[in-house]
Amino acid sequence: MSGLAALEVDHSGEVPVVRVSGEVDASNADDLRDALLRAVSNQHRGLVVDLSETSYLDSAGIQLLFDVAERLRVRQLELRVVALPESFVADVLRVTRLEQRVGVDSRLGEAVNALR
Amino acid sequence: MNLPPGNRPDAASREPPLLAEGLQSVTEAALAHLDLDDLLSALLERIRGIMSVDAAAILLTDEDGEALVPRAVRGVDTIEEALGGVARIEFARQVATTGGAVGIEGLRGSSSDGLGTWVGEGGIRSLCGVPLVVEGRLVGVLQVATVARREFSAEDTLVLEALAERAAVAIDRARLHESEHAARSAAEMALQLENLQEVTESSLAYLDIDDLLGALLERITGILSADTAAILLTEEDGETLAPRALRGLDEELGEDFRVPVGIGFSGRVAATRGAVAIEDLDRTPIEVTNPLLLERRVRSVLGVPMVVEGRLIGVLYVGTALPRRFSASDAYLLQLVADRAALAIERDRLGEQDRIARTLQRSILPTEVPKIPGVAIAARYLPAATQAAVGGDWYDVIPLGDGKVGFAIGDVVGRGVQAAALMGQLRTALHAYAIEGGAPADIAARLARFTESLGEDAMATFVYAILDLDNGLLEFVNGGHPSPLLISPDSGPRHLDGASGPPLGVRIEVPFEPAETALPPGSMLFLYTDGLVERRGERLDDRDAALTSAAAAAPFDVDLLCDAVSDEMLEGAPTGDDVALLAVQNLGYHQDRLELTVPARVRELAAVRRSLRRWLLAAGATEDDVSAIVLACNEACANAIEHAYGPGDATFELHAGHRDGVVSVTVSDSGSWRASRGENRGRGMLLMRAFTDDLEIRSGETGTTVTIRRGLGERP
Repeated sequence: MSGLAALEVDHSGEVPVVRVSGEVDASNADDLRDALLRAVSNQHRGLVVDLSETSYLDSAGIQLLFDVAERLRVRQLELRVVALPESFVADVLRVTRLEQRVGVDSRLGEAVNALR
Repeated sequence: MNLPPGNRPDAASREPPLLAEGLQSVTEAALAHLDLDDLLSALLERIRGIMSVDAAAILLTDEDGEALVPRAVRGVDTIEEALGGVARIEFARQVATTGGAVGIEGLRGSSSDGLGTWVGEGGIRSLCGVPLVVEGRLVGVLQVATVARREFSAEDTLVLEALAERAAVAIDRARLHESEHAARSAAEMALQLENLQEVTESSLAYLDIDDLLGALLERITGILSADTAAILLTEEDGETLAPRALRGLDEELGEDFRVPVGIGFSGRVAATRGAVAIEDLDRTPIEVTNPLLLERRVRSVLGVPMVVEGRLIGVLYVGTALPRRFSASDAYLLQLVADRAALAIERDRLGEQDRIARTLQRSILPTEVPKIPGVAIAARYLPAATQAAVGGDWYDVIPLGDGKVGFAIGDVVGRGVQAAALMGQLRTALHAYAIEGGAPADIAARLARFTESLGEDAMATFVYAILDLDNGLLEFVNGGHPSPLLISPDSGPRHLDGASGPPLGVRIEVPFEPAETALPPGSMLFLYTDGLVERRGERLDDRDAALTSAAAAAPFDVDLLCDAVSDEMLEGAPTGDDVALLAVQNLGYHQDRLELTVPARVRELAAVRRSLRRWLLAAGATEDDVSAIVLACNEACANAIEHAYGPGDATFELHAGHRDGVVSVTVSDSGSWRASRGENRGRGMLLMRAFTDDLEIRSGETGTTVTIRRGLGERP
């Protein structure tokens, strides 16, 4: 990953959680996609991507979320995304209608519980 | 090679850092090992590493002081091999007779060295030996050997001699210890060993300096059954001793008394640099000045000097209320404590100076550079990781009014507290002259006169530049400083040569010749100090080339540029010297417009977002407006980058303006527009439309232009 964004992968619970802080754009979206796919294995029920700390996300970032959701679906795994309500990232998710394909929660606990 | 004693450079005056580290490690070995065999192997191991030799040997004089006997060898497999090579006795005799370093190279087949035919058995080709001498007395010979042919340089022998000096003292002490051991009963020996362990115990090293000194005094008073103990340190004048740590009776004295060096008991220890014992103070010819001793509450004293790197730093003594005869082993033990304490005090002192220099440096440099519309500025001060290498680099940003800004960077010759203080004076002087007004060359001339007025030792290099935001012209002077870089989106980085002038403090009548260059919108000026490009063991040309390519690869954003260059050149933190960086980007707006030329590559997206964000905030946009416009423009820029085919030198333009509460941004490239391809491109368009009031795309033969508009302020 470039210095724009930082990843924190939490494997301590039943469901792996990846917290993305910083900015996501066309320069680091591919790296992020690879990192997300590496974080989850078929033993899990799914993956939570926490965007609460993400300050910027553009169409390349949206595209990667759709991609990851699709690849996980093939493996019978579910992707859930956490975005703070009223945040800029939440606006971007809404405009691009991500929630039609991916579960979007406003709290991390909700996302994790949904995958238990 | 055999250097006559008179021609040898003085080791102490020109110790290179590596030598200092080597000496430190040998001193530590000397302090850590009491058993002679352990000591010798520890010494040889370290010497082998420091000198980069294949084998090392120590021969010691026998009891009569006549014959030299091999006592310890490192780096050979058999005794025969040792005796035929690195531990060769005939050679050691020659070294002992010469009384100085002796080196021979290319041993194979040679018999002309006067040593007979002693070739090949050990497989070594070159040998160098130095005598081990304590107070004029030969205690042995240290020899090092290499398998490859090697000519031992003057520097090599200098290092070897300095190491031998430390080793000799330690060996002498350990031998004394050994002979005393032999004479003592088993019970006494066990006790003595326990005592020694108590003062050399490594856990003491984790204590802070005051606790360490206290603990050492406590232990030594206990071991020697003394009633008082004190550490007195020489003061800066070198003529008086002042108390640093006191235990027992001495604690009652308080810390106010001073003792002159040269007279009195402590003064005598300091002057002779040897152990001094007084059995009964009532019957001694030594004049007593210490108030405690004067009061006759102490009858017997034993004092030893504290010496670091050949410098006397103080005196350690113990005293008893009843008359007592101190033995040689008491003196030996006390000296061990003194060595330990001296080393700790010296380390602490170096650390303290380093802290002062760092604090001074930080307090003088601006913590935040001023915000100036039209330019983006980033500055970094990166202190050296090495202790006591800090100080003297500075940068400054000076708003001059009339759309002009001054930028300065400089580097004081020297390090530490003095350099940091001089830096503060020069920075203030330059700042003051700059706001008075005048061209860079005039300011440089005044600053040069100012520096000369500070004294002989004041020297510095610097660059001072004035940027005129109305026309993007940059005028600058350079006083012996590394050339700044100009990084343009069209043509990449180049060094700004052309300005010339002497460093500050060099008293020669050479005028400052200024130079002028354009800093067009989007371009960046990068100023730095030599710690960025100078690195031991690497050619300056290579480092300059590395800097140019790091700057070429960095995004067009001042913060990202500083980070990328320091990551690439310094792997995060400078080692040998501190570094100051100052990056300036002409954002192309003085009033209402932002004009950027941007290389067509995805890593520039973040840089464009930062520039645009700064400009929008300056134009009075709310956080919501900024996020929305930045996102829409980012999508337009991402399209422009995708349109750019072929080699990476293509660029696109971003122009932004605002009028009557409406911001409009145009992104134009020379590629051809491609209709939405798949969902992703569709999403980019979706976002542009959703976050703006108006979106216009024009595509023609010459390229594509995307214009977005958005009214500022609250939305329904």
